[in-house]
Amino acid sequence: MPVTVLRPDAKGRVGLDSLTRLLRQRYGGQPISGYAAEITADGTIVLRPRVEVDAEQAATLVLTTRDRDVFLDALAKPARPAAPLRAAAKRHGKNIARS
Amino acid sequence: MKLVVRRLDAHADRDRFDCGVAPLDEWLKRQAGQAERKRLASVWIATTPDDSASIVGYYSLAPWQIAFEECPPAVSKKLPRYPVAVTLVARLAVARAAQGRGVGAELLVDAVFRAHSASETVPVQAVVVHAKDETAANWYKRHGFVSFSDRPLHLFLTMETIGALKHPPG
Repeated sequence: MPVTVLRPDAKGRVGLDSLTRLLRQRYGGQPISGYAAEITADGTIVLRPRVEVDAEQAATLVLTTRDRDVFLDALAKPARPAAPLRAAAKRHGKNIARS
Repeated sequence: MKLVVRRLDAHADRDRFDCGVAPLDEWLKRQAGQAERKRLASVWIATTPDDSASIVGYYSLAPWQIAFEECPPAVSKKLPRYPVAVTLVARLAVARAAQGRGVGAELLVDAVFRAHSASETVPVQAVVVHAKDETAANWYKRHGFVSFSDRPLHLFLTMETIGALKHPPG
């Protein structure tokens, strides 16, 4: 699902014609109710799939009973870190500094 | 590749970041600053030591929780807290120019270390990721993340497992 970005001109304006043209190109013939529009601080209009926005804002993952049991089993019996993660941790120690 | 990881700031050149996945590029350019200002997420960027403006990769961390469709008393009694607090690695991306050099895995380690350190102060049980597709999910699985059967693009790693890795000082 595409993300649509419409940037303002030097005066911070977004033309209605360009917005209409872009919407027609991207979404012509299909409903746009599945998209959420956001205007950022610099005036840019961002249209994103609503499911993505909802997932971010929900902040809760609801698990089925089957997945609940997977999760609780892992908490009860934590696995040893996988070899690729251990190797990456070793590289991290050599390559990454924090500031 | 030597990198320095720091919190997103005004000095970072977000406009030139290109990881090849438009939503990840656009989020960094257009929404990461807002996410920081609204305290929805913390955003961490990696640069090289000699160019502190060009972003080589980034990740973001956000508070999240896990609830269950069914949580009988026998289950909730075993939990320290319900819903279960977790940390979400909301996004992780590496610039095209640095891809294929293990930077993504090192940033993943940095993210889980940071989440683990924070959990020493405000405890959470696990780190959760939301993979963008099956390929990404398989990459997380290779690094030990466990996927949920009914939500295969959501994966997690317990804090205990992260704690068993050798952490950087501080």
